[in-house]
Amino acid sequence: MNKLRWALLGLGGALSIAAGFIFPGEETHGWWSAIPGFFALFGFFGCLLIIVFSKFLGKILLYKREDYYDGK
Amino acid sequence: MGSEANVAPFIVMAVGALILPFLPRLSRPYATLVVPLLALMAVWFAPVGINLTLKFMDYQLVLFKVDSLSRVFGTIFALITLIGSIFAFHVRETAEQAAALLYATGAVGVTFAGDFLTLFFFWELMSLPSAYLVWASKTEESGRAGMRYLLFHLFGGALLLAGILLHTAETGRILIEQLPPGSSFSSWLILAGVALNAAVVPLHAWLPDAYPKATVTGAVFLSALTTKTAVYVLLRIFPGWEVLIFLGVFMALYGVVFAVLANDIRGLLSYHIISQVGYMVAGAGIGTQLAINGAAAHAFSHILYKSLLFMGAGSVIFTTGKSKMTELGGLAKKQPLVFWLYMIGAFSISGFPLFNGFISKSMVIAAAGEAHHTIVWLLLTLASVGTFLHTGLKLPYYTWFGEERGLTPTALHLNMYLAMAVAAFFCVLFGVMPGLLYDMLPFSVSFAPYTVTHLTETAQILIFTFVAFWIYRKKVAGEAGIALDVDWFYRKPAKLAERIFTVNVEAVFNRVDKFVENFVRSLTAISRNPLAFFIGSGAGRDYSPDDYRPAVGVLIVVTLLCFLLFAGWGWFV
Repeated sequence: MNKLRWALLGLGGALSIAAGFIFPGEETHGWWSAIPGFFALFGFFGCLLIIVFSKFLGKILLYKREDYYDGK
Repeated sequence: MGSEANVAPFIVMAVGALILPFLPRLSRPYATLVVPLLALMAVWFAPVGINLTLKFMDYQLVLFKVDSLSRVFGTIFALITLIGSIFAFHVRETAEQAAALLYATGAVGVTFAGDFLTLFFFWELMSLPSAYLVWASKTEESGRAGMRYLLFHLFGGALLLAGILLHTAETGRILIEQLPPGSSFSSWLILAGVALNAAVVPLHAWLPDAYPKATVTGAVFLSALTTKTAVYVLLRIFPGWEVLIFLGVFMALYGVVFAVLANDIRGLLSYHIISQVGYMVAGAGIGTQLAINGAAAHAFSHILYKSLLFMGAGSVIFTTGKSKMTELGGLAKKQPLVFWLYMIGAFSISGFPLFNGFISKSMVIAAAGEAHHTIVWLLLTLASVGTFLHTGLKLPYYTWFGEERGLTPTALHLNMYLAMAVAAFFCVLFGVMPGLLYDMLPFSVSFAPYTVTHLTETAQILIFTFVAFWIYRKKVAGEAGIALDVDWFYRKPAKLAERIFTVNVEAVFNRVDKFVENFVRSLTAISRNPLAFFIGSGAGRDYSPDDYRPAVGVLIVVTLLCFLLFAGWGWFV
């Protein structure tokens, strides 16, 4: 990721949040829809939650060696 | 059958599959293109209504019935068979070509079936050819996974048949109808059989087990047909079953969680089939017109982009021989076209505006909102974050970027590029012109995906998911090894079952065998010379009169002596 791409991404992010302020969503889906920028936080922390939860599950329970089912 | 424009598409497919082996070898790949094309025309030209019936025992079976719902699914099944056949155009294995067509015959047959028996017949027809597409990899692993896959589907078929027979016995009806939620045991049985094919958790383990081991070309058909046929049946028979909402949401999230743990690229995509089918299952459960439309539209979109993703991942495997993210990396400069074609599929599944996932996934989510399932709405949106994270970011990052591993991919066949381009074209076409898809849907519901609110929400989610991924991208890297799934419950106890039912039984058998053998041996020895049993070791192995002559001599002497004694006694007296 070079600087130009980060700049474009930052611009896109800022615009999307600004658009959230200018055109606030109706409360059709729930109270959160009306909060500007809610979905930016939702995307960021949702992503984090998925990574942390899944990896945690993998570490404590699910990860096994490749030959797990072949062994006795 | 009425006019000639009225040929059932499954007949076209079946005839194609059956005559394929008898065609000249070099013409067979062309036939695999012509057959689905003709089937597609048959789907389009068939009029709405009952077109073909058959009297079977006391029942009037409806083999070919068309309405708008079946036409949408029939169209996409025929189209994807065509695209899959283009991708497999270079394959020279006749059995694989015929298996793909037979498999599609089953899928199309289910779609246009008007009664439960016909549905079951075509349902079962899918099992073996699809298992063959796994076996065709010809590795030891694919052999075993294909067998597990087949057993799983035969079990599902048995559930379905039991449900159908019970339903018919109870009601006397055989025609396909909507079953009211939770009405009878038979409908639960039918639901279980269908849910197994829809990969509803926890009946899903066959999917991520078998699909990554299928052939590069076969996996494209697999990714498109089995689960979506089941979605069609759910929409047809089980709309409004509330339990499907919860199962669907659970699937959507389950697939996301397990995709984090996947290392095999087609394994990751397999878990995202489960996740995406979860949206459709939830749609069937919500059961409103918007939800049914959304689920049908999403199945249509999903088949296009998921096959594109499987073709992209398959191309990587085909050209490098590697399938694990821990062994891949740095391919973007070496195969940019494959990367970009894959990314069109990734943008579609992630619901980027102007791609077909955007116009169909949002329909299901909106249906949840409209029906006031707010938690469902939120969880499905969370699952779509996960979709972008894996399919759109993790997989491409660790396959085409990430660590440079010095791989030199071989050339890809032109037909494979072409197939991906066709799928990519449709992904974009329906994204840009959603009306084309909406007009095919069963209900006329006005739904506008391109609203400012929806675009704003989507942009925020996608951009900030990307930011989170970029910061924590090292954390999501593939790890060598496997992740357990519910297949543990039958693969691990399989060893125990083997010990109880095979090893132990064999040991008992061996001991009985040994005992009988010894018994028979001693019996034989005695039969040869029964006298030996009475007089012990003095006798030989076999009976010989000579052995006993001395004894007989003694007997004669004793007899004579007795005779003399009696004679003498008589003389004295």
